[in-house]
Amino acid sequence: MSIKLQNVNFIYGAGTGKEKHALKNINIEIKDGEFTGIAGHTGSGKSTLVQLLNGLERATSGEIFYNGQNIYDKSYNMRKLRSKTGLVFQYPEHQLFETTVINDVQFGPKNLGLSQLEAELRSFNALKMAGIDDSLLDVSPFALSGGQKRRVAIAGVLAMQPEVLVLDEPAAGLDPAGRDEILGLLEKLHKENNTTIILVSHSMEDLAGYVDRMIVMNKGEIVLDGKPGQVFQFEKELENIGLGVPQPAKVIHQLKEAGADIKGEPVTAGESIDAIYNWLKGA
Amino acid sequence: MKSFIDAKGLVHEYSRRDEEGNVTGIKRALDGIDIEVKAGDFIAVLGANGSGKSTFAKHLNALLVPTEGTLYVDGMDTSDHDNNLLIRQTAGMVFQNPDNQIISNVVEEDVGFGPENIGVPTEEIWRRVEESLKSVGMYEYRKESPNQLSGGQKQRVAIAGILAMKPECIVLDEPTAMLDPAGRKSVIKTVKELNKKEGITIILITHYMEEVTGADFVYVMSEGQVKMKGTPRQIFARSEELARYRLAIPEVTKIAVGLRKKGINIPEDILYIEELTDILLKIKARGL
Repeated sequence: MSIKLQNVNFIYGAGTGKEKHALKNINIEIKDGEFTGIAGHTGSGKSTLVQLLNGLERATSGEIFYNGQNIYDKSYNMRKLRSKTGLVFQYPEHQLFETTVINDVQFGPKNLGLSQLEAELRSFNALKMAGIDDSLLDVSPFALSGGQKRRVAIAGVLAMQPEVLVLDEPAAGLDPAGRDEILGLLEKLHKENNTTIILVSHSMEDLAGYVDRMIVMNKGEIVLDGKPGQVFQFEKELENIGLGVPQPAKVIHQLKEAGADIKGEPVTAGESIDAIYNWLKGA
Repeated sequence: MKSFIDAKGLVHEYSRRDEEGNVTGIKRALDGIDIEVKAGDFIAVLGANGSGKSTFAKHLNALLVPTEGTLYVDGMDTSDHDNNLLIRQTAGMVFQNPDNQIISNVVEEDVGFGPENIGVPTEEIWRRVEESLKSVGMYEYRKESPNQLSGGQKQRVAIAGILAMKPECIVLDEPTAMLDPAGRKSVIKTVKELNKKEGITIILITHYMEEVTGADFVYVMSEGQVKMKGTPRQIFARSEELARYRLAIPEVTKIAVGLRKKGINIPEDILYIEELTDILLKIKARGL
């Protein structure tokens, strides 16, 4: 599903005298099947943007289009929009509530009005995708590890078969292996199901290795937009707004500053190893 | 010299109970921990989710008592209930979520809450509040509402609240997990300074590898046991073992390891960016 934001503004507490301009004139176009990262420090407006995308908040001014249709049109079915855009909040495992894993995951699909069989089928697939073993289906979600709980919660959203998946800091608080599992799951969804994914995070390392495109926000505005390799060229600017660049990108920048003729704009450890190796070899 | 923290064979079991209160299951969260920490040390505890590291932290603060084994904090036995208050003043604790730790509407009142509670005279409270807020770099925000602060600033206010109790040790349980990069940096910098300048013993529990590089000593926990211990360099030279415990090495170390695998003669235990770039530039100048 393609998404387009046109001159979107959002003001908290409009007309109360304590107004906060959380989003300023945002213009973004996200293509169908694109894996986009949105970065910004706390309070930069990225979470507000997420809420607009799901229709939880309404833009103070401006328009939002899904597949070319204006979601603020009176005739637009907002309920349908919410079933098409899966939103994974921060710490989604806090929202688990059912007695078994499978019941929790099929709660959403059942609410969509699907038959028991269809709801179950979707839930099985979603859990499999999320890497949750069949032996855990009838276990209480509260008996699982932190990383497993997180993946069950995400499976609950996947079972809705959203065309767009928006995730707010999905890897926060997880250990490195748990982080890789979640991000690997997103990569798989992106590649195999062509799901449009919007990943909101302030961890530049997490974004670097996975997204096709990075949008950086500061004070409610978009300040950078491009491929990770391009965005990370702006190291000083990113540091000034409370972010930074991943360690591998930093290493490459420092080597280049010292005169090293390194090709390309590597951002992950793997890419950097190859680039540095080739430079050392003189290739 | 006597250890400041001394855990010997420390075991903690959580029991699950049914509605009548009968024990239905037992989970061994700590399984024979031996950890010794000298006063003034900066110790890091690494471990995956569920490895038992937070349970250990709660023991240091006498929020939990050993099921088996012993734990002494500054010579005080944590299983002796009479020591609780003194232990909590000696080893202050900072938790993950800053919003759960701040109680007051004004920063300076929040910091003064602890000392007031233990009956410190008013003048002394204000002196401590000023001093603590200055050491975490939050003095200029003293009159503000904590609601207006960023996550990193809130965490530093929480640390100031602990400092005002004049602790000898601060235990931080994933203090940066919810913070953005700038917030993370400011909290870690504050913690390092408190250790260096004021000699406060630091126990930092985290799974951000980059935060561990400055520690004197690192313990790696898994399944309630200490599986690895050593200096950051010793620990990060064992990447495969770390991966088995669901941990990883810092990205810059990964680059060094990767290059070494390709046949470049470079140490594997590199921790800092400048260290890596210096070596690489030297290798390039010398030729392969």
